[in-house]
Amino acid sequence: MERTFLHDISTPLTTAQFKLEAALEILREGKVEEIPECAKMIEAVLMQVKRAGAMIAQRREELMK
Amino acid sequence: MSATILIVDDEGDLRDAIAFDFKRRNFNVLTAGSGREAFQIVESQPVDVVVSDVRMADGDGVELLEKIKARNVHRPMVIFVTGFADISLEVAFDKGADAVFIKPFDRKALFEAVNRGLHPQEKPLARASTRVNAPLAITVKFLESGFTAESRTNNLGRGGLFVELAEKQHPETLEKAEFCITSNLTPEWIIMGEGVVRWVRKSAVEGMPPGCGIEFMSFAQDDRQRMMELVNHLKTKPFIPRS
Repeated sequence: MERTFLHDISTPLTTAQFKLEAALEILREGKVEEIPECAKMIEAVLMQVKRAGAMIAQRREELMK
Repeated sequence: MSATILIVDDEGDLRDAIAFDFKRRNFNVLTAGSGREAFQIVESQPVDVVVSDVRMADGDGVELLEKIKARNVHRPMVIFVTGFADISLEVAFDKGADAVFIKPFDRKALFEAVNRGLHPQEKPLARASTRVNAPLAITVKFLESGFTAESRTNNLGRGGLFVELAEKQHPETLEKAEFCITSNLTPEWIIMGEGVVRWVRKSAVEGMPPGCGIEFMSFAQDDRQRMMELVNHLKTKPFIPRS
């Protein structure tokens, strides 16, 4: 089960890492024309975090029953 | 002219994130959601690099790698980005993968691996090879563990070598090593260089002895050319062989 967990979490973590690092690069390079793309990437990561949070909350409720 | 890179992953988010990064670096970027779709692209147009997930429905990364290397062992280069335990490093390199990254990985290391494969301009070692007449052998000195091991010619790959080790001797992954290859195929020359340990097998597995896979990172002076001649002569398919 741990192997499945590690496998399942590796891709979303990598995706989030790529998006946040790319967003940071754009901001540091000062590329104004890429800021909308930068904002989209950060929003996408936040959505990912919120979805994961919702899943954890649901699972916690199930375990507490 | 921009290099063409094909990103293959059934997870659209990650595929698009990697594609965006390479587009920013002026690559011509193609994408595919499966190994089957990716191979159709490789067959239909020139591709320099493939970055592929391993576990995918409708044609996985290993099948894709095998088909690509059966077609042309040098191009495109194939880099795996894989989840936990999808494939071992030694199997991936033996099948011809040019690099393997395990998620989550260092993004800049991926860019460096792509650039290194497209433009092999490693910094050469300062020292020159010495012309000697010697039987074929590979000697490897591990710079951190401090021991030396020897191996045989059929352990050479396109990008690295396998060296057999005694059961109690094993270097660490990512440890640097100096190697020296002498060959009687082209008389009286030796190849010297530096490499990095990519994987370690501490005890015998499936009849294969303990040992490690070492990727070539730099060569002494003109030895890269000699290495390419030797590898082409041996017609070796693995990037780093398993045994």
